[in-house]
Amino acid sequence: MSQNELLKQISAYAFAEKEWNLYLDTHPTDKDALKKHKAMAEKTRELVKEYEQNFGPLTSMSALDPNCFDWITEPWPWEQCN
Amino acid sequence: MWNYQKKLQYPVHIKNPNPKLASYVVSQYGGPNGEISASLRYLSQRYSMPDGMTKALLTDIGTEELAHMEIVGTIVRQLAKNATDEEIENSPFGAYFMNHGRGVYPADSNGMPFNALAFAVTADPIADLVEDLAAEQKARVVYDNILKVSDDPDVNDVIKFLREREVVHFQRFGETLDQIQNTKLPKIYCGK
Repeated sequence: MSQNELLKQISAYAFAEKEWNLYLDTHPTDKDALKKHKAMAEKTRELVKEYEQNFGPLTSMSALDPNCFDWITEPWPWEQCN
Repeated sequence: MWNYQKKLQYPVHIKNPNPKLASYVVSQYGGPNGEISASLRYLSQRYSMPDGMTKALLTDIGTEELAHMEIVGTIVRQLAKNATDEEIENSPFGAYFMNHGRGVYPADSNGMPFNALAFAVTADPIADLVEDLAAEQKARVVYDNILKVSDDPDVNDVIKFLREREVVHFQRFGETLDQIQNTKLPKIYCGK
């Protein structure tokens, strides 16, 4: 998957996780929702791992390059990727 | 984007209610030199910074300030939560209590609500970073003042942590300012 496509997938699954999160805040014993929330969270974690191994860190904690702190590389999210 | 972690950056366990102290400490929540002001300043200034290092630093410090805002809010709440109505009435917290009860509201110790005029965004990295250096020192002074009037070790332990973070942030801002002034200045003014 391309970097942009992978990022789009992460945003989609993370957003779905967030939707179930908000729903569960007010319906904490809905078993079906709990199952779906878990699935979205797991898929998001999996995609984030794939992204970070190929394209660099999404959080400073996953900056893995032993030679240079790749957290500070550009572009930042508010900048257009050409 | 941001994710919330259900933990404080530094633990807060205050045993004794103290509404007077709460009315002072709240200044570092919503006052001009407080943590909301700091986080909004850095997270707003970062868009127009010239390089990855400065964008990263403002993002990271601005994010840490959000965690500090939570710590200061926690101190205010714990100092106010178990104070009696009488203790509150006989303290400077009484005026705040009329509108905000034992809750946490972004205002300074005079009751002035948070105002974005407490900081600037000029889109000039030198002007913005020099402001940031001053802001860290002003926040450090407020923590010094809290330590002068507080004799509660549970509060002072946390305030000392927050005070130290101001000093570290000042150091890091100084280093990026130096980087920009010595190596990046021509790039900025050549319409990169």
